[in-house]
Amino acid sequence: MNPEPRRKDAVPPSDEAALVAAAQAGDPDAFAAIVRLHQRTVYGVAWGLTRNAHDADDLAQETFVRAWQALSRFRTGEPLKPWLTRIAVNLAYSLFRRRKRRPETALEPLAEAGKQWAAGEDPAEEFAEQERAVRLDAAFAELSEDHRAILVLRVVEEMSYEEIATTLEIAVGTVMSRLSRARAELRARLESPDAAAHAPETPPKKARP
Amino acid sequence: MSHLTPDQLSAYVDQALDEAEREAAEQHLATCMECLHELADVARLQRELEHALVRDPGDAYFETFADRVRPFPDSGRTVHRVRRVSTTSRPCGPWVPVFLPR
Repeated sequence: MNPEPRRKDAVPPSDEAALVAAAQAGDPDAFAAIVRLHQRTVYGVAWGLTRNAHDADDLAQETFVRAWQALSRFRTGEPLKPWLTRIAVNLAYSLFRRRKRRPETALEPLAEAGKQWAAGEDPAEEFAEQERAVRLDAAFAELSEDHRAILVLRVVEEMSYEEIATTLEIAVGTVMSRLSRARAELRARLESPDAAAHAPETPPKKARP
Repeated sequence: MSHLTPDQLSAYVDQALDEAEREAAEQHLATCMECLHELADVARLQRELEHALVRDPGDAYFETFADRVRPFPDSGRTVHRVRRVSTTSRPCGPWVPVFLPR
């Protein structure tokens, strides 16, 4: 049930520490190297949390801008990944609050649904699956930001409970119970008619001048 | 053994149980259709979430990503702030001439 890892960002800690030290001394190439080492991780978190390419790009870029600005306070020798991930998650939280929890519409999943449907064999079954995917997207958008964040770290980044605990600065036991509650919440919303109300037939936002 | 808790099922899917816990869970799952059904649901959700939350924008995107990160040293904060502010007070900023024919 667990697929093979999609990628491994294994960076020897000593190399990373050297890059951090150089970047802290003001070397832009060292910082660019840090960006390249971690850009896929940061983008993955950003996309999972926003689920649209424009916001994900903004969020990922902004994460590294903040990281550069805060780099002098970063303790050399610590791993960068949890720190960068935490910055991305916190920026996403600010974004959510600015938008007052207005969920994003599921444009990209729908576009993807169209592609897959075209290639499918059994239209009825395909449609049921895609309809569920759209409802899942809407249900996910309605979760609390903590639940969204922990699911993204687990599902997208495939972090262990220990890594998630370090990243979010919470206890491992809290990781376990929060993930379990996030899943229960998601399943409940998927099965409830309320979640279905956000299916594509009734797009939630249309107002654009 | 009593039914598996939601926490245990969730951690089982994440392969986050220690060995003894996992063995106990598997022993229970071998005889309990109810828990097996719950497990299948959680596992299905996990697969669906992977599909919903994982997106690879492609190698070309990442080739230029680092070059777009601003600010780098010195130009720092200022460039960033100017870009932010400028969105509210158009037209201004050095890029405008690119879009407006002289």
